Amino acid sequence: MRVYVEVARRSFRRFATYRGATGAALFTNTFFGIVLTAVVVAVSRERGSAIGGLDEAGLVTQVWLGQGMIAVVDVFVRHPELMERIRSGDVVVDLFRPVDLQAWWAAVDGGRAAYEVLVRFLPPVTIGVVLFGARLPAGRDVPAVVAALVLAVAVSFGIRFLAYCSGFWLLDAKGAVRMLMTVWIVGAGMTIPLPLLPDAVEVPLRALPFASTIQLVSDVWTGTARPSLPGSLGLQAAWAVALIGAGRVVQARATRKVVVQGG
Amino acid sequence: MAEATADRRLGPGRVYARLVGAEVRSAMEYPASFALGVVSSLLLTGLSLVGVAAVFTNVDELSGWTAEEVVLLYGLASTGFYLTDLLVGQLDELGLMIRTGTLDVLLLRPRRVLPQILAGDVDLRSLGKVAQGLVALAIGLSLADLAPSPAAVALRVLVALVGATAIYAAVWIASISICFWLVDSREVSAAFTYGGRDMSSYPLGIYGQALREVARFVIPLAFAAYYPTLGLVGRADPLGGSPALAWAGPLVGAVALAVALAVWRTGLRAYRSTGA
Repeated sequence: MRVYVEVARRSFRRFATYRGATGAALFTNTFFGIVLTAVVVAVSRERGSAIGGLDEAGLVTQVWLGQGMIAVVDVFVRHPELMERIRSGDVVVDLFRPVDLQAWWAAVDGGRAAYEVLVRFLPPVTIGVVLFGARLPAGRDVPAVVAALVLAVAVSFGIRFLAYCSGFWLLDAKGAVRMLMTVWIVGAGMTIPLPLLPDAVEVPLRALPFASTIQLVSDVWTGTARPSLPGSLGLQAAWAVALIGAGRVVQARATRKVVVQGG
Repeated sequence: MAEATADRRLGPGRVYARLVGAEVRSAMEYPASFALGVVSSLLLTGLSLVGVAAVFTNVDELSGWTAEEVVLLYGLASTGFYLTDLLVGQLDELGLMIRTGTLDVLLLRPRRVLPQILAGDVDLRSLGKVAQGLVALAIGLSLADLAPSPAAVALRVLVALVGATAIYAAVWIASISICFWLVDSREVSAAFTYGGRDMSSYPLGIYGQALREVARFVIPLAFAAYYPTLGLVGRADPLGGSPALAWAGPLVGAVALAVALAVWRTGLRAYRSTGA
């Protein structure tokens, strides 16, 4: 167990060395936040009443929370190291180590996510709260928000680990990952908050794991968790368990049956 | 000597045409995979229309614009943007090229750097994204109440697309040039390029004063789709712009491109290899 804690700590420190990109990313998150805020505010004012339980400030909150979550749950799949290692065959080195492949990469991802919370999550959310009227979660919801955030990272890791492992069979998982990313962005509520969608679209999207990575965190944050707070956290937990479990099955099959490409 | 003459004839345009030709031939080696790539990029980009559609399941109008008009606006912006993506999207790799040192290889060749990058790895699957924009544009044109005659509409759309493509290209070239000074700034340019696309997909009226002024006078995104759409639906600009602004896209785009290329050249001169 200690080895995974150490891996996570070192992963955190490794990401902390790339400071240059952080300022650039904050600029981008802020710009997209401003544009999306204008859209949801215009919709909310035109409508004149709450939409899906969210008033104007609630929608603005989701916009800025979403901008903060992008890097934490890596919706844009910016760190596909494992995918590259499977493609190049370097994954064999990982498999030789006396540690579990999935747990190793989960630890790496945990360290990464912890770092992103500090530098990519807190700044845009702070800007949203201070300058654009986004809300902070109610005090009693804070532990639930933290739990939802951790579960979101777990679900996101589950999704990405499965996608990368498709590379054991597809040889190059890039195309699959790109497709996944686009569906993920919409399904997580990044293109438009899911409560703005008609029920016929919103309900199925909420059942998919993508919603668990951002939309459900936002629901808990704004106090609009559905059907209830435990139900919402339970759905996230169920997806985390199912996806990480599926990842274990896939990993076992891949390491037993697949001939890794070398070179 | 003969070689030198042949050499001179191979100007930037020719270089570009040849390299793109090679790209087309290589894509056609696997026609099924290519077709799949085009169709999937069409469908996936089309998901962003979901955002626009979703807005109008909640409201009938947005800052005075109907759903049909916003789809038209989205179609113009999207088609122009993805035509630009097809032409200059490869610039997104500039930061990576600087970091890994591959830009130095291009600098060593006796050809201009920009055409070499642009022709480097044209992703023809982006044709699917252009097609997505055209589908949205067609829907918008057929549903919205258009003011001019059909011939005038065609001319206006053509002028608008030329203008939009030039403006987005200028934004792309100028903003990616920041990489020459700050290697890690790819995300900043994404705010201007992809953020500019999203911003110009909605009517200017929904934005605050500051953003509106920027889109009209600094980064001229308003000329890419907003003014042309106003012209197509025959509505006066609530911000007081002249109806003639609908035609101004290509001119504004040309000026913007000249500025962007100047920025690019300045950046290239300031560039010091990372030594990687």
